[in-house]
Amino acid sequence: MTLPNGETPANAMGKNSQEPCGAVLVCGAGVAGIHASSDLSAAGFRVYLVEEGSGIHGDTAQLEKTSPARESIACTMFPKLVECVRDPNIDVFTMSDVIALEKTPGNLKATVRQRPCSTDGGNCAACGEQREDVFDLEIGAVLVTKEGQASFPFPAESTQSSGQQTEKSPGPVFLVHESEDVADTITQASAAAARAMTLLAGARGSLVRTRAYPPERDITDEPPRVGIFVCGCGTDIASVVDLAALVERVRQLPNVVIAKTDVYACAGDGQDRIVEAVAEHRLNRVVIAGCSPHTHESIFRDTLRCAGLNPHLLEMANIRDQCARVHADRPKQATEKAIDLVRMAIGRAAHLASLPEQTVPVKRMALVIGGGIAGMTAALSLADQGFPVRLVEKTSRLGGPTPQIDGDDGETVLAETIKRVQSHLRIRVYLEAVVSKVDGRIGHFTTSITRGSEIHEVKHGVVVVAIGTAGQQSESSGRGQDETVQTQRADREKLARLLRVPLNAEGFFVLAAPELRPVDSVREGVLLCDVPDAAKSIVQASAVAARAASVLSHKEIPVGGMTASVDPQKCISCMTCVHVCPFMAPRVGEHNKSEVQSEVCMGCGTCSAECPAKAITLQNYVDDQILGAIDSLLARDVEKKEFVLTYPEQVGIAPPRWHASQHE
Amino acid sequence: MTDQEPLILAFCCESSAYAAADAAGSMRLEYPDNVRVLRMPCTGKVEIDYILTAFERGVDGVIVAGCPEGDCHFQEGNLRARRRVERAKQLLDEIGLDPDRLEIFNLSSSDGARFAEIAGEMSQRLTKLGPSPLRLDDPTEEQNTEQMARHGDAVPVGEKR
Repeated sequence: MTLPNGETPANAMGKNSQEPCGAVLVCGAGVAGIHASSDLSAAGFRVYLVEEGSGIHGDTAQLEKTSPARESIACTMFPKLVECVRDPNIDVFTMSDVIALEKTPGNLKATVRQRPCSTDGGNCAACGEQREDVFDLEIGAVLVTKEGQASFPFPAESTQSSGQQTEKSPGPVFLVHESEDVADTITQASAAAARAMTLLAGARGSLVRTRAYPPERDITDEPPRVGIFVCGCGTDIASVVDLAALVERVRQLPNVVIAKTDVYACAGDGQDRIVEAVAEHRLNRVVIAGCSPHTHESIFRDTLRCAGLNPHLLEMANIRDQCARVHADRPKQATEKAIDLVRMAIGRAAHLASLPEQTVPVKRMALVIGGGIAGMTAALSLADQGFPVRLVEKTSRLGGPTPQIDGDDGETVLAETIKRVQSHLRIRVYLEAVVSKVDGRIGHFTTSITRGSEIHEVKHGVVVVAIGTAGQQSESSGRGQDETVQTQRADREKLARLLRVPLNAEGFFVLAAPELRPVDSVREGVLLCDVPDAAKSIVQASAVAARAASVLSHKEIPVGGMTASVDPQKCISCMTCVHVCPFMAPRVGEHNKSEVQSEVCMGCGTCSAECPAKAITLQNYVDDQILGAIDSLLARDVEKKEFVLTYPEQVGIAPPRWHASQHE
Repeated sequence: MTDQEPLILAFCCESSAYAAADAAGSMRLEYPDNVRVLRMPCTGKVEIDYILTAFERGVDGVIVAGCPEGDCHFQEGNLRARRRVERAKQLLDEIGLDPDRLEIFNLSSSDGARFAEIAGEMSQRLTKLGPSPLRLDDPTEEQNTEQMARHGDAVPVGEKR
């Protein structure tokens, strides 16, 4: 894409000093548009997502599987789509296009035309009753994706023409570069979002709306009413496991009220059906039999909140990764195993309890490890957005190897970047320093930086890893490289251990989802610029900045509620917990009884397992839940005991709050 | 799984073994279908009580699987788990159950192949050892009553033994 003539809105906007508007128009709701929107929304901006077609998903959703993990695309993408539609800060306009774009002081005004949805072109009698809706949106910047170009007939500025730091006056209409590679497209989308964030940093949070959930139902007095939702994951599970048989069997188990199947439980309509079922059957525990809690637990927890239940009343049985995919040749056995796994989940679910939502304040600082071009770009982008940055470099100078960038002079880009990093007020650089200890988790890490004999302790919200990629560059295998490669490999291994992010067989850090989350490591809050190619790593660095901003712009972050707590009645003051806790969370409190500081507790359960008085419980992993799961697995084919409750009026007993007669 | 095949319960650390099981899934690795995974936050939370309860209820074998030693997500939970497993083995020996029915393994989160291997190894070992003498093909009423009590169901008065 070339820059158009000087009359474009993008250029006209350039150096306006007016207060920007904290809203961004994203054109095209394909995979790029959706990821850019969700990053922007998480970072505190309002997003207007305009799509010419009738739905959000784009071409990517039509792929069946991603490579190399062969994950089902729909399965990994649906949660993102649902998140996007549920997000109160993303307004989705389908069947729409932008018909005018004009400059207002400091901002842009886009005129959007939304066509009526239910018109059948052939049968339309032009009665005029369904009219087009035309409205104006005030925005601070525009992102245009490839799929959005049809709905945005105006020139846009390329985000890729050069290293971003060389552009003095970024215009507010950015084009997202898309390729056929899904991961690359998402990285580009996040990078474009980072540019908009930098431009509108002053307006962050000015237009956000908070999500409203229905009030949480108090289920303390209710007997367990478990609902089971079996997901077919398209054909991934359904083609192996006999879902009908599974539902028929588990329906008979104790405490189960309903059991149903769905094609995709994580899709928007699948989740709506769960919410409806919770209300209809007054469920108070939900079991999802489908995929891994690692990928889908958070979205289903959110579904429970939408249904007015505490998010911790959820249990998942992973019948995809533990049954369908690994026993594909033995459908009968896979079904038997799936029944057992769901049985265990029900046994555990019956004992789940509501846990209060706990949050901790987010440390508004980023730690960047590696002072090469990628690390510096990420640091600058974050610092420009207003976040303080600590940059750690092992050698005595910033820069690293000179980047090879198409059409640009690598050395000039590098020199300018170094100059900007050194003079930036929000960046502090530690040269000849290494990270020696990393504690904590997303939102509140505590890291020790060792420089010679000094140790600096830094509290920060995210970690950006941008260190050399051990010898993955094919062209740099010249003389003297072997030693560098060796040290780099050792550095990577050491850092992998410190950060608890493993390396894969090729020596790269393991990603959370190789295709759909290309810069997020398996550990939340640890972000990666981990490609050998310099130009790509600069784009990755910007994408990392967008992902980091989506964490750092929150004031508080939930800690999951899974912490240990002490029953002072049972505590015998033996101090075992104080000795065994690796994080020093328990301390001696009132009356010499132990108490666990919930903001320090990481929820490993060591203290509760070691406590000789059984005074400590780890919430969400209490004995009854674990033993309940074991019991259910082994007590096979126990007939369901009908538990019929009748409340004859003449006896004069008031029915409890959860009884159906109270809700008619 | 037929009744002749062993039933194995695996206590899997959420951050390593459970993720490795997921990895085995996305790699479509085939392994024996008699392992039932129970997710734990860390093997450091696996109490001897849980292991013994599992045997008492009739599983043929128990796997405790956590992070590689020195690499525990919670620093030393897996070392504590190892000590407890050793103690539990002694107890199993005392009551006449083969201690080989219980084993602890360490593997990293990306190691799906190792997870499949462990499942194969334990399955083979337990097939050799045969079904647990504590396994009840037909759960007695006593066990039913106990289970119902745990589920909070009403236990009929006078029928409790």
